[in-house]
Amino acid sequence: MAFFEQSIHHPPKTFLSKYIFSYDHKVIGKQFLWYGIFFLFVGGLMALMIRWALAYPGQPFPVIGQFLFPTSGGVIPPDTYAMLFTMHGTIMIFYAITPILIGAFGNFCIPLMIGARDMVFPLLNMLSFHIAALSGLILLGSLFVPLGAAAGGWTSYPTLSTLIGSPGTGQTLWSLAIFILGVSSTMGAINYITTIITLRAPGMGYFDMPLTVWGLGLTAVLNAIFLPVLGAGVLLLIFDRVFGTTFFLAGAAATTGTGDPVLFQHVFWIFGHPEVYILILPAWGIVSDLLSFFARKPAFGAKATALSMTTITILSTLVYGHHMFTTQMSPLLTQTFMTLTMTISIPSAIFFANWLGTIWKGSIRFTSPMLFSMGVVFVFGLGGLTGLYLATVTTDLYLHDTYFVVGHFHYTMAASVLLGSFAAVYFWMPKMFGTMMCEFWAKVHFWITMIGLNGVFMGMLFMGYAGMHRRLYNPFVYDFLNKLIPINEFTTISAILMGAAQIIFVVNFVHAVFFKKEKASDNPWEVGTLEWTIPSPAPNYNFKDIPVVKCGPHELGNPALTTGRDFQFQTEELVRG
Amino acid sequence: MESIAENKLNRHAELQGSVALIVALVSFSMLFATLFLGYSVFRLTSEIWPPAGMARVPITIPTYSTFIVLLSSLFAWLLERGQYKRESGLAYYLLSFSTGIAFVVCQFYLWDMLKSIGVFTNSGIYPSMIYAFTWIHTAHMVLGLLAFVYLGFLLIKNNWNLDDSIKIQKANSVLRFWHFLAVIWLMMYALLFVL
Repeated sequence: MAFFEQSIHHPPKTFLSKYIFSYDHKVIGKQFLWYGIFFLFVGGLMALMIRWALAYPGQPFPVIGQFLFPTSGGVIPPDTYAMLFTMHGTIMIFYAITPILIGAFGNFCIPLMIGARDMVFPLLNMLSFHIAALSGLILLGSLFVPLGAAAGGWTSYPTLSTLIGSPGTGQTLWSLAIFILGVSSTMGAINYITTIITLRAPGMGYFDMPLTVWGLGLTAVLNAIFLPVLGAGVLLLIFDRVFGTTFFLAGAAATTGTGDPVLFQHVFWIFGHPEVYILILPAWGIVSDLLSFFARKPAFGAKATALSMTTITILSTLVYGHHMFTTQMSPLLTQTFMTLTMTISIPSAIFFANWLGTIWKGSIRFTSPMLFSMGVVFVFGLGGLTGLYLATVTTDLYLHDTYFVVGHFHYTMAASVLLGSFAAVYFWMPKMFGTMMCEFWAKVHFWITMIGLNGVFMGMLFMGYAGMHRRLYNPFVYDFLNKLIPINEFTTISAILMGAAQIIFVVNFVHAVFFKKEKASDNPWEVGTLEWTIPSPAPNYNFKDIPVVKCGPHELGNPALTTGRDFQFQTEELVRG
Repeated sequence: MESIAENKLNRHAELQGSVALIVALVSFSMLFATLFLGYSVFRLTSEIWPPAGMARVPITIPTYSTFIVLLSSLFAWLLERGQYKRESGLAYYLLSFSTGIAFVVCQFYLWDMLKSIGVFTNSGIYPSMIYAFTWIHTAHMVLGLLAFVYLGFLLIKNNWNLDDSIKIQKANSVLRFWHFLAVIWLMMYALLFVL
């Protein structure tokens, strides 16, 4: 990228300009991080309630049940159960994972890792957060309206989500909140793409960018293209609910002049499948970098990894029909979608093999970010493999809408992304807040999370394979599911364990941010990407002088190095033997 | 030496503006493309159109709207072609802006006319599409008019003399968005009212 002068921000002086209306990408990143952690707590609590209802049907939810559900003596009522799984999915996907990985680390990492002083459009960036905050408030507000929050599932299929299925304003507010959040994310995507294309430091070609930036950039591309598709869908849903249009009302257009509920499914999944990759691509990028950093080796086949992620990004736009095999789709279409979906295995296998190649014979440092990254490799492997059964028409017809699907997408979208997020938090903590989190408790957090998480999601795979349908309030009214009560109890206990492990994280995080006196060094992990060439925490202007990039991001373990270090900064000439 | 650095800075600003505008227009296009996808599904699966024995909507007001939006786009093009200079620019700016307002007014007349002939939002998928698509497009036109107001401030503040690439880029971006909305309207006019 050609060199040009970037202005230096004046340091903010007031509380408002520093913490609320900041233009600084790092502060906006932290705002998104707190926002995401808050919603992670809300969504996590909802998950525990769902799990409780499934393991102990008819029993009051402990401690807070009496306050939340006084009319039923603390027992979660059936309609509330539907609201809980709807809002849990919505909150975790749109308000927890998206803000943490894309909002927080996208904002924080992109300018720092490409050697820029800020995003191209700082005002747009600030507005993006405030619009997301407005959306979050609307969604939380919808929990308190008469007839309750949305209850049509996170996919909000009509007719569950039209006025017939969901009377009241909860579903309308849900749709409005999602539309507004889409505007926020699209604004962010415009900023990310433009920043990556135009603000890379001199000397930094696309393949010199860390893979984290690749992941975030590809995510931004998918966001810019496909969020408006969901936006159009929920806008029409709002029109149906508020103004009486008939887009998604049942009835064939040709005979009655009314709409088609399945149309929403098409629109939703045209967005929804790329959304899976919107969530996972940043985690893939982060993990690809961290595995190399902590194996003290160059990333194996880094270019191939970047190109594989790009290929997956393209293929992700062509496979959405595999979510709709049971909608009486033409067999020609189902087979086409099946084949295209299977094709994704090829680039996935390439970068997965590259991950293994990266750690193979490495001098692995088992730090907390590395443990979480290796956790991603494990859970994503499981999640990816279970996806094959759902991509295949014949097996999907049996497994559709069972807990197998829930287990699969939690392994890919929840487990992988959550572990990736934790890896990122532990890794960039010193650059974000200037302190390190306690490594011992970070490792304890990892192991308990890993055990709990696998207990939950593996349990889901088993019960789904045994035929347990998702979204049932009390599955055990069916005789054939009675034998699944013990595995449901096991899954719930695992979920409680996993939830309890997060207390360790919160205490460690809050202590490091607010109470820890000991400052982190500028480069505690000994890696060479650009953000580690500046002080910790990163100053408000990022780089006093715009860096000039001379080598790639993964120059580690070079035997020709004579500097006493086993890594090179990206600003140093590559040492050749 | 200074002019080379300045030149680089300007080219960079142009690049940033262009990339951002392209991404933004792709996003807007996908929103409208989704609407047109919905239209295609209903249209292609319907044996007769409009469905369920509905009469076609009179084409007069949409035709006026089309004429007006094309004129507005033409004036916007002339404004850019004249490099935003006061001599011709003021007139073209005012003409483009006022025809934009006229377009929005026409849409209100369209909705009023639809109600007067008994075509309501809940009358079926055909009127649903006409109402929803024109609402969404008009909301974007209002955004475009706000951008035009911003452009007016920019021109007045700089005394109708945009002397650097960044300002020209901003002005051009407003007009590109305006042309984009005109093209979207043309497609809507053809699909909803003519074909």
